[in-house]
This record gives sequence, structure tokens and C-alpha cells, in this order.
Amino acid sequence: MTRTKVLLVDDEVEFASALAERLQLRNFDVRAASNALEALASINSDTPDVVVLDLKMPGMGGIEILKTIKKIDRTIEVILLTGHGDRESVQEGMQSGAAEYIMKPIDIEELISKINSAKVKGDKNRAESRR
Amino acid sequence: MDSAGEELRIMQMQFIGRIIASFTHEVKNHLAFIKESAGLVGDLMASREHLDVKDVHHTVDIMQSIEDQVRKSSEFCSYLNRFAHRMDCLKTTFDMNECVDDLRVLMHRIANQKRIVIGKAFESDRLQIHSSPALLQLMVFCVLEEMINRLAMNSRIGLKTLSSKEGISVVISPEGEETPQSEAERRCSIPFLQNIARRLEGAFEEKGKDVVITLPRS
Repeated sequence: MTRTKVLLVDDEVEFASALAERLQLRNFDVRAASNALEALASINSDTPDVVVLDLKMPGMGGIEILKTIKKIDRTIEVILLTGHGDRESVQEGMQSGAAEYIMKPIDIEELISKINSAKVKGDKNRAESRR
Repeated sequence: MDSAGEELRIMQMQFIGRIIASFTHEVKNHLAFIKESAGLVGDLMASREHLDVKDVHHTVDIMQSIEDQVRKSSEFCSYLNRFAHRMDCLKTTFDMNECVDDLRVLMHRIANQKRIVIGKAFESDRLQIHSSPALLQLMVFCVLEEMINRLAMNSRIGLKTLSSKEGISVVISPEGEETPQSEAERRCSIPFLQNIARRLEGAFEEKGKDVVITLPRS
């Protein structure tokens, strides 16, 4: 059974590294990127199934990265990582095509559930676009 | 309350709100890292029947990084605590360098959204002054925020303090490409900031691109 490919995009490098390792222990194929440039390069070299994307990042912010991902491949599902109080940004993100959002500090089991749901959704969209 | 007093109250509330929002965002990130790292230790213990030397070293490294992060978070809380206590009295004796540096640290996340570095070059001696640290921080915040808004990504803002016969000055210098802002786009107008400086018997001046806030020692 192929492992779900997850791209973690967060400028908090140590947090992303710890989270990546936890997901790898749970049999996910995980890459991490700390900015938009790294994230888009990673997507272009090896398309992930799901992107877990921090909303508030320096430079090109989460919403802009989300829109760019959707232009590259609309079947890549995106889960937004957000702090409390970013309600307007979350709303904008969901309207821009994000599948889900989750608040920091995260609950790992909740994140995994959302990743699995997003993967199913993405697979379904890919199957439909091939018809 | 007259309109000038009302405007000051509103600006102070907005300023405090911005600082608290930025602080809580930063602390949430610290807590997220601590939670993930603690969870990772648990996961590693659960995933292995026997821990080898490599696993033990890895676990020790994670525990150390948790300890380091808790220390950083605690230090950061001290900055907010000092910021809050600046408002205990209308006027008090304080160190200008420490007061301005506290604000610089608390504004790091705001500036970092555009990867702007707020550098410091403070006079090495303690610069004791008897004035309003809260109003000083409000003025510096307004200037820094306006500069951050108009500077391009990856720019720099210099913060300098110096002592002269007029008093003690904070010089704020933008370094980088700028998008001009209209007066209407500024949160705090120049006349508003000049009024605050006058209340403290000081001066707020624009010297070229730099802003200089000077306050008397007492």
C-alpha cells in the first residue's frame, strides 16, 4: 500500500521537523519546506497528496501559496495550520480551496484524520479528472 | 474626555492590542513546538521494543530542545511583563535603552512578516530618564509600524539611542526600498505624535528619512 505523501510548509523549522518525524513514525511519506520557494519547488519535483500549510508565514503568505498550489494542481488538497484568532484568514483560505484547517498547538490524531480525509478527497478528484 | 485625549486612548488600545496579538502568536508557536517534541518522545518510546544508543541520544536531544524552548518562552514572557508594567505609572524613571529594546523584541514577529530586521545601536551607558515609558513606546511603535508598512521585503530599520544636552534621543532609520504612503494611510499622524512629544516636553522630528524622538532627562 503506497504511503500518503505529505508536504509540511511552516517557517517554524523545529516545529515542522518534530511534526514530520511524528507523521513518519505513523507511516506517512513526509517532506518539509520553510518558505514558499521551497514548497513550490518540492511540489514541482514530487507532487504531494496533501499539503499542511501554515497560514502566517513571512514573505509569500499562506493564502498566496494556497492559490499558487491550486493553480499548479487543483487535486492537491491543502490543510491550513492556524493560530487562534485568524478567523478571517481561515475563511479566505477555505474559500480559496483549502480542504480543512487545524489550530496550533495541534492534536496529532486530529491532524491525521484530516490528512486521511483530504487524501480520499484528492484521490476522488484525480479519478474524476481522468474520465 | 476631549478629542485629543480620546484619540490617544484609541491609539494606545490599538498599540497594546497589536503587541498582545503578536505575542500570543509567538507563544502559540513556542507551545506547538513543545507539544510536538513531547509527543515525539512518547512516539519514539512507543514505537521501539528496545531503545538503542542512537534512540537514546535522539531522545536526549529532543528533551534538551524542549528545555531550551521553555527557557526562550519564559524570557519572552518577561518582555511582555515589563511592557505591561511600563503602564503602571504615568511618569517614572527608567532606562531608555531597555525600554526601546523591549519594544524591538516584541515587534520582531510583526517586522518578520516582511523579513525586516530591526537592528539596534544603543549608547552603551545606561540612559536614565524620568518620563512616560508607555508614551515613548507608543511613539516608537507608530514610527516602526509605518516604516514596516512602506519598506520592501528584506529591508532593515536601525534603532539608535544617544545622549545630548537637549536630552536623550531615539533615532529610527529606515534602510531599503520604500513605497510612499499617504498621510491618510498612517495609523498615527505626525501632528498626533508631535503632540505626544510636546506633552512630555520633548520633540518629534523628521530629519530626512529618519525620525528623531527626543525627551528631556527629567
